[in-house]
Amino acid sequence: MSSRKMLVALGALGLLSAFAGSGCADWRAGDEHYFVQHKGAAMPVWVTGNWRSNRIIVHVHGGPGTTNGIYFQRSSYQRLADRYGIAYYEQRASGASQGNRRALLNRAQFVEDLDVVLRTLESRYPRAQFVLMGHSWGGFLTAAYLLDPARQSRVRAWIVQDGAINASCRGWQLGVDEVLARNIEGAAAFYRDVWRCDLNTNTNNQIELYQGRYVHLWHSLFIRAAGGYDVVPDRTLNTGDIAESIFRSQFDLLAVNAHSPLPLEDYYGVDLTPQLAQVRIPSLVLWGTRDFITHHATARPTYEAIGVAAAQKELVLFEQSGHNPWAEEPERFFDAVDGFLRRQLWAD
Amino acid sequence: MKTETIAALAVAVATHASAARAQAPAGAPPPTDARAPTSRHSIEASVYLHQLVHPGAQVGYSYRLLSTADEVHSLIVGVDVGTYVWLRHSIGVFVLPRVGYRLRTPGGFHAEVNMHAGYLQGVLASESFDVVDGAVVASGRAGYPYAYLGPSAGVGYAIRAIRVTPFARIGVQWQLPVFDQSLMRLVAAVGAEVAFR
Repeated sequence: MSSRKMLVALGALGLLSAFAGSGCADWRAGDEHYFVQHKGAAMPVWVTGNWRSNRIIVHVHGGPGTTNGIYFQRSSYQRLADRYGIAYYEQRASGASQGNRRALLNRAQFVEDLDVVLRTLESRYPRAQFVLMGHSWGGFLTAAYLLDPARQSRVRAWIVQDGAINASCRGWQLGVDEVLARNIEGAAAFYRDVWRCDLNTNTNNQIELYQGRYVHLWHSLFIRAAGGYDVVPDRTLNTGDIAESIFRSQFDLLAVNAHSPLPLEDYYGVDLTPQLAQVRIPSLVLWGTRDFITHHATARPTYEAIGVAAAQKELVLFEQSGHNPWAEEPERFFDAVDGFLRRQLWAD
Repeated sequence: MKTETIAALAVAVATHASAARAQAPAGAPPPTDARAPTSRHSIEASVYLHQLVHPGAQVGYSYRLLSTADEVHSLIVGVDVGTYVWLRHSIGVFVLPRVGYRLRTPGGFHAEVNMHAGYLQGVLASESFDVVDGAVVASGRAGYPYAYLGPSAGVGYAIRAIRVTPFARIGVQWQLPVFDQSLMRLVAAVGAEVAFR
């Protein structure tokens, strides 16, 4: 082969490989992908499943600073997508989004961002009804969103799973106690010498750096070492799942690793439980009973504080799950969510 | 790089013009000896892998700025132009000047280290929307500019009879700002360089 022919062949190969990706099959036929831009963030929105039913679950991921890319592979979400639309989006400075300006990393901004995403969804699906579902930090964020009555009126129901509703120092202390009870190496010294979270004033150092990591990230690592995230970690995210996300999606796992948790203001040290009486829409509370990071002891107070009659709210506990019942007990998770939506909103 | 190599390159600076004349006498036929001097100019084409999994392609031009008389040690400057596709995330187009050191043994083995610094234009992979005064407004595919810089290392084998050097290069590029911060990206290129006559 002459050098000129070799060059042409190489060029063709490069272009072919470059554009082959854009022709990959979608996760599901009819999926929609777009971005919502707001104050420096370009938040990717992915609407999948049966969104033509005009019944759409808006999914708000945990973190803060992680990704929505960890949920959709599980049968719990796959089965929900058969029946309902699911709108995933990645929050500011999370996953593939941008806009990580320190001055914008606060609760009010994330609530505003969620509002902008919801407005965009309303515009694109004008006949749809929306349910807000938040996991972990997303539980806190959705609760904060619902505290504004005008915003609350735009969603039909709230689903919170292992939500960080009680992000006060008393809430985090429940996890600290679990770690210390298990004699995790290095934990006693860390919580004695580094950790600061005043149980009375809630002044804390959660988003200060210690040895290059935020104090709260160290706490998360100790919780993980204590088994407080997952009963069987492989059920939540295994190597195959990670590979699939890397090769087939927009999810920026490197960015997630680099930027999570975000140093978010007005979150660490805040307990929204007393304000949940303002939530006046049907609500479902889901919690793993072996969750130490958003401790399972906060599940019932969350449920009880919600301001609707008992007939309009439900509490489901997962005995074989830690922080991620959607992954560890997917069948029960699907039954709980689907049953709630059928009973409270959409009987047919 | 050893001290002797640096000294050899310094000598090469001083003798650059005369050496070039000696390598390519006017009207002479192209060299056929495997160890004969080659042109200072070359072009290359390669498959480019952003984050090692996002496919792309690049073409480049290189100029052997300095080299020892036997061409074992060379200082190369060049520029690459390329693109990649990150499914459902973005399309990137970059212009990436580079400077590098190249070792090429008489047998043809080729090793190199480079420093790249240039410009990357990212374009979102799908339509975007803004909310302006409560109204949702379509804003097309937004673009984002980034600086793009970092080192790479590569190996290759020069097939001098056809003046082609297949090569593989791997490196890291800092893309900034991402989230108003820098973010490291792993990159690789596999292709071939063709020297001019």
